[in-house]
Amino acid sequence: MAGAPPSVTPPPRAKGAPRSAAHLTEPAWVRWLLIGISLAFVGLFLVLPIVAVFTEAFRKGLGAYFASFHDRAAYHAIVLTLTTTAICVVLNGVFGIAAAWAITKFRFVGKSILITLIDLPFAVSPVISGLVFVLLFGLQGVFGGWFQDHDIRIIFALPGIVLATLFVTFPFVARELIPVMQAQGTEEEEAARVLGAGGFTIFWRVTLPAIKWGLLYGLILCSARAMGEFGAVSVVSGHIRNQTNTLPLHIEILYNEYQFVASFACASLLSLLAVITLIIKRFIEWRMHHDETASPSEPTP
Amino acid sequence: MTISIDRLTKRFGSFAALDGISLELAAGQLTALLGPSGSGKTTLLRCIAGLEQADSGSILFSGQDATGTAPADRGVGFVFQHYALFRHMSVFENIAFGLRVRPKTTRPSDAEIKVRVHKLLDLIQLDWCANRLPHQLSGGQRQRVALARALAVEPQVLLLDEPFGALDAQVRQELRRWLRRLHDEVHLTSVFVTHDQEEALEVADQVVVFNKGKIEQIGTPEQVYHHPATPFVHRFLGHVNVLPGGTFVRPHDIRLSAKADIDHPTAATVVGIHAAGPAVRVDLKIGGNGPLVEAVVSHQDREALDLKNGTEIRVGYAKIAHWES
Repeated sequence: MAGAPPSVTPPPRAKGAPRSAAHLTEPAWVRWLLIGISLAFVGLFLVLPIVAVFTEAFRKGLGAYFASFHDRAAYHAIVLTLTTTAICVVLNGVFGIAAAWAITKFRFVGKSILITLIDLPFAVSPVISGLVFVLLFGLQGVFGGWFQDHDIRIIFALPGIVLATLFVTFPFVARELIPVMQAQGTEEEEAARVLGAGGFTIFWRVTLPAIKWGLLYGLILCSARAMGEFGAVSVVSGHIRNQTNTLPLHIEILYNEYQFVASFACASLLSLLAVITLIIKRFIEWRMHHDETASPSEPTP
Repeated sequence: MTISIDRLTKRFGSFAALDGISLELAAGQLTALLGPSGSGKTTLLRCIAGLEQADSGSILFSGQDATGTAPADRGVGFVFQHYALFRHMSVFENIAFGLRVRPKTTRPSDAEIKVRVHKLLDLIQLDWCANRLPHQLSGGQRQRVALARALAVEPQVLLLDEPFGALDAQVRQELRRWLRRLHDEVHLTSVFVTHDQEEALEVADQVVVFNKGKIEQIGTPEQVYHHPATPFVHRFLGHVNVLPGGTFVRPHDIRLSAKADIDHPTAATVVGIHAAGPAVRVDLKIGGNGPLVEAVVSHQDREALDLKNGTEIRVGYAKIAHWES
């Protein structure tokens, strides 16, 4: 078959046919081995734990499961987690757009440093991220005294939790937007400028509609991470029940107190949120792909 | 509107994109800025539009200094090389954009916008795709929409950056003739950038030849083609054979003859023939071991002389130019 002209439809792969399209794929046993390994791995490390979480959560029946959320501490943890996530999504949306805009639309000194710094939270351990804020805003910290004097609590309070989560989730939006905006260039904005549009109009009517799916995708990743963040928040929160416990911290405390059903019930809620985020993420990916591949069909003029 | 450009200079780092350009663009004329890529022509166009700020020098619009004026206040329409249509807006909304973003006091009513956009859609013969999105159009259609969008704000100057660069040959030719007719109808001062000499020579009233941030020559298409001011222009516009000693001769100025006479003194050998097309291109080797040159003859002449590979022939030059090198 070597040297045969490329055909539009692949030739039927008859069993035993000599090397038909064999250059395109591996032998069957290699394929099945790879697929098997992947599925086994996913099953062992992803499906099994999730199943375990839900079985543990429902071990004592539906009643006990829902009773876990009727607890004041659980309720407070859920509210705190959602509040933190909401604040982070909004702020990181603004920061992310600003950073991506600066990087892709302007020429300036220190641009490559900025790009590297955006990735820093990915590289640093979350615990260290939390520790940085304790060092800055804690009682013995650099700015701690000033905030103490003005009776503002940062560490062991909501602002600290938000700061730590913001830091950890900062890269998501910017990372997502930079390639999108780079690919789009600045011509559309320039066209709008020559046509008389002001800066805000250009952003609102030209830039934002063009990046909306990329932005949403970044925000979804950001919120997923914000809801689940443990390490950084653990350092700055102080684990004060009904005050500074987020859902992940609450789960840990319940578990350490041998309240397995309640602990896993909360864990299942977090898992459920993650699954929902995944579904939204998948939908956005589909939309982005759809927008991109709506390619010119070159009709005759 | 007359545009006067006075000693305009623009640098990007150490690279001089514009090196003291002075140029006068007469009202109502269609000017082509012609040059190889990186010669500064697009930078000049962007400076005229206000999208780029020059380092020094000035730009006057009808005698008024416009050097620091914002793009929106210059009364220019700009057509980008890759159209830069708003991808999420329909063709109608693309064209209406410039009117919709006006401040309330000068913004036309919705009904009026509708009338004006449809008039422009008529002009570009695309009334039937008002509700389509840009990606549903062909390249040529997109370029016409981009043009209509630029014209919607009723500019006095129309600037086009490589307007036909991304189109295939046939659409390109149709569209540039259409642009010429459009220019004559709407009476704008138009400037377009191109690296295609054929395009510049066919469409423009005035051609400005750029090289390395400087102007080599300004003139009508005839002037720059038949009376090039510099060896660069001579080389850049049309084919030219460069003979030893700085002698330039165009392929169609080479005369061929079967026998030697005063008009055909030089011996040459045919080494290649390309007969597909309106004329025949003949590759010649001058003398026994001289330079390779290219001549263009008619199909009749080729038959009369019975030219084929290896034919010994006599050549003479109807018109040559000498450039000190």
